[in-house]
Amino acid sequence: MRTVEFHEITMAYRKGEPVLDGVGFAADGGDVIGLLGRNGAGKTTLLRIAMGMLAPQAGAVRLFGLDPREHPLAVKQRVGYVSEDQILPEFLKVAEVIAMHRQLFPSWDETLERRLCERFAVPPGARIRTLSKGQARQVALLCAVAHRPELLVLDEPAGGLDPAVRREFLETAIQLLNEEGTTILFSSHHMTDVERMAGRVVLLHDAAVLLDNPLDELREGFSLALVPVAAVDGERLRAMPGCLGLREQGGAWRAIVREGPAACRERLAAELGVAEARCQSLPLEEMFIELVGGRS
Amino acid sequence: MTARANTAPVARLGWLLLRRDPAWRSLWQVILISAVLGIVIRAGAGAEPPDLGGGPLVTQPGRILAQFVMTWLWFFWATLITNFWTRSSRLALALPLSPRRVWPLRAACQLAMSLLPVALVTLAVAQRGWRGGLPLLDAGTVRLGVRVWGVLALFQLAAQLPARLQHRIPARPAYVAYIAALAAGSLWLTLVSPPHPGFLAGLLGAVLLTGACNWWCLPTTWSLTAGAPAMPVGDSRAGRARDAAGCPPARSEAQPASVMTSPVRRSGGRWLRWRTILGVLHAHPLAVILLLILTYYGFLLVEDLHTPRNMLPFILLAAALLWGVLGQSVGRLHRLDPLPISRSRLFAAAVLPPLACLALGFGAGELRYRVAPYTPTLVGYWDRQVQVPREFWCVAPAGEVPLVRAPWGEAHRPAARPLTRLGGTMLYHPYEHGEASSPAFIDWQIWRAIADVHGVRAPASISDPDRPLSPGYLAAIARGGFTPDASVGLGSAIHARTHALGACLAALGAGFLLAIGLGHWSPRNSSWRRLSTILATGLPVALMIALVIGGASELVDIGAMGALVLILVRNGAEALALPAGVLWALAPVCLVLGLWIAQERFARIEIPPRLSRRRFHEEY
Repeated sequence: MRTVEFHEITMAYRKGEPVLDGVGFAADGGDVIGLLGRNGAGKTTLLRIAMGMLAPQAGAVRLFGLDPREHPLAVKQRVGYVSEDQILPEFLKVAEVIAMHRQLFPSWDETLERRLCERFAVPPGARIRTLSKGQARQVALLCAVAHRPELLVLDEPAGGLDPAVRREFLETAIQLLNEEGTTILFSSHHMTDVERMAGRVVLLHDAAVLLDNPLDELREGFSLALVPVAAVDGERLRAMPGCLGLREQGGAWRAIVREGPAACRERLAAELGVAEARCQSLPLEEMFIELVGGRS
Repeated sequence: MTARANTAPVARLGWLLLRRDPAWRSLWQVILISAVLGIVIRAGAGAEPPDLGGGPLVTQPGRILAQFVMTWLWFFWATLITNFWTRSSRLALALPLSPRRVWPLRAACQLAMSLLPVALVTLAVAQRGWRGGLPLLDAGTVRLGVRVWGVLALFQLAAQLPARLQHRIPARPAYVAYIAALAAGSLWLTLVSPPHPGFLAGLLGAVLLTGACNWWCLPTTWSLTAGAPAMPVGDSRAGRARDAAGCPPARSEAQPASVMTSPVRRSGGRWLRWRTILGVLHAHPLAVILLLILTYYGFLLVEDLHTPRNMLPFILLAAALLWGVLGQSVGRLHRLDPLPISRSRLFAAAVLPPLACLALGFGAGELRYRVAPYTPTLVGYWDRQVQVPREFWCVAPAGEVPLVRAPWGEAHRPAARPLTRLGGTMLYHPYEHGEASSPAFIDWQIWRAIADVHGVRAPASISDPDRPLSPGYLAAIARGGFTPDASVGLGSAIHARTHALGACLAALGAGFLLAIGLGHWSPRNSSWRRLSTILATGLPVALMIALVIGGASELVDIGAMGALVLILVRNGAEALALPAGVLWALAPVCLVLGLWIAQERFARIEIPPRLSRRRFHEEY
């Protein structure tokens, strides 16, 4: 049984403008999946569908083999969730928020709770409304992980946090859970976070999954081809097998090709007769910009 | 030239700030609610509205006073939603604009927003006819309107006096207490103030003075938070030296992390869960006000059981408020939705507090009738007319109102009350008497009403037109108002059964309506479901507005419509032939059933966060 399965998820907030259109992928225990996409690409919608907070118009989602809308309690007790816009009850004290979560999750680990309390050093007597953004997010993370969830869903968890707090936050999540086989599904705009955390990247674009590859494969199996505009027609280049994105900049075509640099150079020469192409591997952030920038 | 060139951007900026002002953003809601409220009050007052300009409001009868307090609560709410404690938005704070330019715009918006509902309601209530296409207004009511606005404006400006250095006055307990005291004082001042031009002038002078005081005290720039006490310039070096030597060290140096944390309390987890759920759903000003109003309505609804008064409008308003509370709660549930808390618990937390408030008010009202020195009666003689509960009115057979004839031959044909001016079902008040009716006929009608309502036998002597009537009794009839002794302390089986069945039907109906209304938040996978939701919620609202407007323009007779509903329920209760006790016992069962139906729908709704709304409120 897989931890998370999305089958052909379709969702539109306005008729004729799907946010997600036939999106599908799955994750097993121990997978750490980074969900990428531009603003409005449907990342948050997809994560909310996973939590059963939204119902897809078509398709199905299964967590631990269960439909989260049919079995909300059974699913939520096995999931930890932190989102950027999640607001803890601001009138409660930190200790009260923790006590409430302890009540709600049967698998609550008090030893882990104590460890995290010490690590984060958030004053237990402080009211949530008096905490800084970073402290509030740490309390949210504590509440999300102290019951040792089988799936951790993080929706832009580090949004608005400074680099030190962000790193602390993400390392805590990874260290605590991934080594135990917890699946982590997180969305982020910080490519460095994704590169540090994720084992696999799912890129949403134009309401569909544009990429779903292990991070290592992305590093080695993709390249950026720089071809002079005069050397080839853009449409021919776009139609070349493996070309994922294309845009023009500074008199050159910039194409993302699903092949390593050497193989890419050979394919360009063989199929399009382009000898003067320069192919290079590229970091995730560059790939993201090239892919979604070239296709929008 | 330069000055003119600069004027346009400043005007555009002013317009931008105005449009982003919370007061402006709530404009259409305030206009709509105030217009409907004004029309309802005017329609309820009938052909002879009370004279509101004769003296302080406290001298008015209790019902008028109660109605005024309810209306004032709406005015107060319209003032609250301007967020008057915020002097400037964060956007304006970051712009090169001095507080003395930003605050007047914001204050003008707030004052206009408190003026608008008062003006609309006053216009509707003061209207006494038309001349040349313009409404004829009652001067006393208009003066009262000006007085109410003056007091509200004074309240609003006085509420901005504290924390003058900050762009937003922090909602600390002391400030909340200050606002509560100001609000109570404002209401008191409105109720006791005389309709004297001198008082009005003094009031407007106080408004101007407070506004000027606010303006004068504005700082050169606002701060986001309360600043530290200013340090004299000469002390700054000493201060820095103190920082280096005497300030407590950073936490990591002085205190190990473990010292900062303490074991979390283990007890009271369940209570904490409920406290959190209830706090998230109901601990905000709008919910608290709605719950207080619901309690008050529950208190008023008791009159429907013990007096001939028809409280149908209050029942409708209570239903609308219940909707409001539930809508507010659903809008706040996104905070709790990711947690493993069952929807049935959330539903209970959303629905039970308003119902409990209604029940609490009802209980308090019932207690008032048991403790109070006066005894309510189901049959009364007020406004020169016999008063009975509306279910004792009759439907005219074949549209013809029969003649009511006393044994000695004196007769009167009650006025026909068609449901609409265009015709349709005709109702009449069978115990009515004419202006020329004799005291003996009036007494006969009163006794007939008592016999029918309470199921008692009238004395045989009432058939005699020459029976002796005491001078006191005759004087009371001539005065046009008294409580018949024969009705005191008597119940009515028909009345009790009608209301018990009405409670059962209302409980079931509320559940169905709630379930249909919750479809608004249901998954968006069915166009038909959306359409049915719009129809199910839109049609009753349209019907209510049509009734209110129709009632005000006398196109429909709201009183007769209410009576027809009660007559139908009475007929149903008589057809069921169950005792009132059994029906009252069934009412909670119906309530549970109705809520179960609604809860089934609630379990499947989507609760997305209201991102746009929150962003807007964070700014102000």
